[in-house]
Amino acid sequence: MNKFLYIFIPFLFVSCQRDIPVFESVEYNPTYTYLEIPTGFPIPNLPNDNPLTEEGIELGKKLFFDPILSGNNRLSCADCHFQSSAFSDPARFSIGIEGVAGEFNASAIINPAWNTTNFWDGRAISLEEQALGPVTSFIELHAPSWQAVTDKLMAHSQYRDLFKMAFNTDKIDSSHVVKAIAQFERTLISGNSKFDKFLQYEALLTPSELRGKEIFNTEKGDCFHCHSYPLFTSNEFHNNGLDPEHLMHEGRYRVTRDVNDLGKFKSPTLRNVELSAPYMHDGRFQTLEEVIEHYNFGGHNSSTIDPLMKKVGIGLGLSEQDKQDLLNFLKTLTDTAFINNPKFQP
Amino acid sequence: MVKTSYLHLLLCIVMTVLASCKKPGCTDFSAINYDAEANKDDNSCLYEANLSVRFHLKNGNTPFSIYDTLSFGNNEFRLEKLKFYVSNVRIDNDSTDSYVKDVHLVDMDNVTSQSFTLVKPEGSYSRLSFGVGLDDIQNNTTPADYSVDHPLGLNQNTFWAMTPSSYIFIMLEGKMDTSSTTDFYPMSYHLAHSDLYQILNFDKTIVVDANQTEVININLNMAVLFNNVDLSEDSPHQSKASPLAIQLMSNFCNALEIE
Repeated sequence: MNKFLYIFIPFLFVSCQRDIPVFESVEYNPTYTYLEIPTGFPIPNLPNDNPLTEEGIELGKKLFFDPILSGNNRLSCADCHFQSSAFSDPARFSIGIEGVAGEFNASAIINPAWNTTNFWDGRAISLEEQALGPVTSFIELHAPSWQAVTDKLMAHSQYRDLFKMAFNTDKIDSSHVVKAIAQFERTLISGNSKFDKFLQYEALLTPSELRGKEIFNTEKGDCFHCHSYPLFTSNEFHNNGLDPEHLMHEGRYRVTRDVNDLGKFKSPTLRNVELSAPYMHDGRFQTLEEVIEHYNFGGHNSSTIDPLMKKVGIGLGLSEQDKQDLLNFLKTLTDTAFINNPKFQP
Repeated sequence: MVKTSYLHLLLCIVMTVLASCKKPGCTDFSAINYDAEANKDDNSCLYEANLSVRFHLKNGNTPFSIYDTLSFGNNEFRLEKLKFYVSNVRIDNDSTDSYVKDVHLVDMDNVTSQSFTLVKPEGSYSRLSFGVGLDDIQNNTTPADYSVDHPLGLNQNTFWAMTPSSYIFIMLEGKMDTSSTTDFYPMSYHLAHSDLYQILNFDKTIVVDANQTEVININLNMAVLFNNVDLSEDSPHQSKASPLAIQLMSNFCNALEIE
C-alpha cells in the first residue's frame, strides 16, 4: 500500500502542474533587417525610432490581417486593402464596421516607404501616423478607443510575446501597434513590373507599349509630371480638373486651410494601376479608359487647377490608337510578383 | 666618467637650444590654419566666416511672392511655383578662386530654401559666381544616386526620366491671362538640359569677418521674365535649346540682380 502511494503521489503533482500558469519570458533579441531596394530607386528615409526588424515586420503583418483591431473583431486593414488589388479596395468606398461608407477610395499601398505624406489629402506625414487614424475612425474599424484595442492585445495569447520580441515592451500601447504596421507596410515594395524589366534589358515592350511610353513621357499625354519614374507619383498635390469650381472637393485645403489647395489631392502611384480600380480620390472612374478619357478631354478649369493641366478646355487630342497605346503602356506597370508575394500574405 | 659627464652636458645644451627654437605660425587651435608644429604665433590665424546668399522675388522694386500676379502689356501671370538650381558657387579674390558649394535648389515657396550659407575664411572677396542649372556632370546623374532629400534627390520632383533624361533647371508655373478677361489658364515653363546651363558672375566687394555672417541679397526681377516671349508658343518642356527656351533662360539670368 505504502509503495503504491509513493508511486502515485508524484503523478498527482505532475497533474496539478497543468493548472499552474507558467510564464516563459521571451527574449528581446531583434533581428535587424533592411529593405530590398529595386534598381532605379533611391534609399528611402526611414524613421530612426522605428528600425526595421524581422520581428516587427512579422508582427505588423499579423496585425494588418487581424480583425482584432476593429471594434467588433470582424474587420481588418486587409479587408479594405487587398493584395490582389495592389492593396487597394475594388469597392468605390470601403464600408466600415458600422456599415457606413467613407468618402474616399482606399488608397493602394505600394512603395509607401517613399511616401512623403499619406492619405489623399496628405493629413498624415508618416506611416505610423497614418495607421493611427483608421483604428478608431467611426467609418472604418471604429474601435471604441486605442486603450480598448491594446487591452485586447494584452489579453491575447500571442501578442504579449510578439510585442515583447519586437519592441521589448511588457505594456502594449498604440505607438507599438502603429510602428509594427508601418514596418510591414514599408516592405510592400513593387519594382518588378514589365516596364522595370524593360529598363533593365530583361524584357521587350511591344510597338504599342513603346508608343504609349512616348505618349506618357511627353507633352502628348503629359502624364510624367505627376507620375514620374521610379515611383510613378510625385507625392505632390494637384487639382487635375475633375470638377468645375463650384463642385470641387476641399481636398488638401482640409489640412492646410490654404484656399490655394482647394480641390487638390495627392497624385497616386501608377504602379499596378491596372489592378487598383476604381480611380481618383472618390473612385469615380471604374476603368482606365475612363481615366484616359478625362485627361483627353482636358479637365475643368478652376482657380486651383494645376499649372501642368495645360490642355484644359482644349484636350490632349489623342486618337483612339493613342489611347490604346497609352493604356497598353500603363499595363506594363503591373507587377505580378508584388500581388503574389507570399511575404505579404498572412 | 668625465667623458660621460661631458656628453650629458652637451646633450642638455642641444636640447635647450632646440627647445628655444621658435617656429612661427598660427597657434590658435580654433583657427582654420592652425599649425600644430608652430610654437610662436605670428598673427596669421584665419577664422571661419559665414556668407549667406539669399534670393528674393521682386517686381521692379516691389516685393513679389508666390500667388502674386504680374501684369505686363495686356497680360497677367499668377505665379504658383518657381524653383531653380544654383550650382558651382564660387567666391573669389585676386589670389584665390574657391569653390564653395556644388548645388542648391531654390524654391520660392519655401523660405528655408531661399538662402544658403557658405563657410569661408574671413577676408575680402571681389566676385561671386554661380551657375543657373546644372553642369554636365551633375545633370548626368539621377535621383537614385542621392538621398531622397538631397537637392538632386527624388523628393524634389525635378527630374525627367525621359530620353534624354535631365533635371529641370528652372520650374516656372502659374496661370496666364492673355485676353484681359480674367480668364486664367494653366501655364508652365520647364527649362532643362545641359545646353541651357549658364554661369553668372557678379563683381562685388564682399568682406566677411571672422565669426560673422555677411548677407548677399540677390533679387529676381519678375518684370523682365517674359521679355520677348511669345506667350502663344507651346512651353518648352523637351526642347534642348529652342529659341523660346533660350529666351526664357536669358531673361531669367538677366532678372537676377545683386544688391
